[in-house]
Amino acid sequence: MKKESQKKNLGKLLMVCVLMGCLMLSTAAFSSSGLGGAVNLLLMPMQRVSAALSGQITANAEETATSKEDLLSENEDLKAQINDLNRQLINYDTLKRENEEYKKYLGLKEENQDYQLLAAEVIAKDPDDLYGSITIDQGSRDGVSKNDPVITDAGLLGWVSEVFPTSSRVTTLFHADAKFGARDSQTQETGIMSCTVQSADEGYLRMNYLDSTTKVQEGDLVVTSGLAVESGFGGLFPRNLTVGTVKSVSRSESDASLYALVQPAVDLKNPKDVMVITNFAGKSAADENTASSGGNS
Amino acid sequence: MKRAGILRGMAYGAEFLLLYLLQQVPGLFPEISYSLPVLLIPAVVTAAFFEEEVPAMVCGLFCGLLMDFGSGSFLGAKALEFAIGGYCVSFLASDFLKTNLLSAVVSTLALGGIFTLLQCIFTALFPGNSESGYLLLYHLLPRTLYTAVFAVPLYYLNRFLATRLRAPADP
Repeated sequence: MKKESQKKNLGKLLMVCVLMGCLMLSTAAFSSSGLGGAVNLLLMPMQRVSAALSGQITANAEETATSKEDLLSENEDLKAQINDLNRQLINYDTLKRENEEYKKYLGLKEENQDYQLLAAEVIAKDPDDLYGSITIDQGSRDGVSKNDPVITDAGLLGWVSEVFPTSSRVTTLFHADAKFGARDSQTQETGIMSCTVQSADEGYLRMNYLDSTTKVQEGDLVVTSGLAVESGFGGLFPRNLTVGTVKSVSRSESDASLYALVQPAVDLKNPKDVMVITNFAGKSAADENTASSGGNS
Repeated sequence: MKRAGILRGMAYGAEFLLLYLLQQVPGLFPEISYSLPVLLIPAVVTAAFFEEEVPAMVCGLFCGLLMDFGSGSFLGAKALEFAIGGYCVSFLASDFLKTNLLSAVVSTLALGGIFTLLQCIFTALFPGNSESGYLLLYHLLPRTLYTAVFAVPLYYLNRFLATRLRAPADP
């Protein structure tokens, strides 16, 4: 009797395996963004709330810990009043911080009139992703498209690797596919940025293929050169976005060239508020190239 | 009897959805050795200890699909892994394993380890990543250990759900 029941159950498991196999094959052959987008549409508000709640809980925990002695000596009304005032202060600080950040972006916008910027908030981080990709709360409905560059007020963060109607997945520069042209702003020498898992763990990017007589040195600022790399993610970053500063220059393990370790200007592991560059001069040409080559990411 | 089953299913569904959201909240869990815990693995394992093979498989399928939608990769890949994982754990728990905390933690480690190896093979080794060994040693194995810690509270939570939301005649 039990064996018969186990046979039936095994049959059900096999059926699920076949179904999931078909689903995998269909998503490999066609885009998964339709179904994924529908589910993301449902999950996004919850992700947004959980991310906001987490921030609020952290802020409240800090608030309680710092003012505990004072609160003990006061009555219930004053506690409520203080909490209320503190909450207002937190909101004020948040708004002030956001305002300051927007001012910085305003400078960037003034320098680059062709940029179309879209503010976004990080709402999720995938723990199962080897390279720590993040999810932001803006999607195709807001004008985000695949391979759009993503920045913070400090510099380049990564690119949009997948777009859903109301959210997007952002891959950071610590990903193995993050290969793009870069330039030393002091010496004007160019190289190709890339990243290995080990260098990402240490918090550095690599600027490869520097000449053996290179003048690149510690402290130099590295910016994007505006050139795409064939083995890269398939998109293009605009020129002169800050990537980071040179930490050291060493000889390559595989050839006679040198490489520079670059400390990213942006906290790539814990970004909070970001901007998506939805349009810039040269983007349409990059999109055409991506379309003709079939993309790479 | 049926009502209790539906209630239990709904409770598991809510639990898995909440855990999925929690594991994705940026900055909620501290990174240990560059890793974050995948809460849905211990959730499926501990639920499978208290359910029969098919309901355990459905739990795995639900969690796997959530992971698939979140990761944006092949839909169905994680669902397949989790469904087979849930089925196997339930099968082993009914015939070969004692239902206790130690078994749950060891099973979470074992299943997490298998998932880790599969991920390393399919996302690092096969695409030609020369750092597969480093990834396995410094990222994936610490993540498996980190994840197994959460088997403790989830074992008690799922035991509570399974015992409270069950009709007396249920197996």
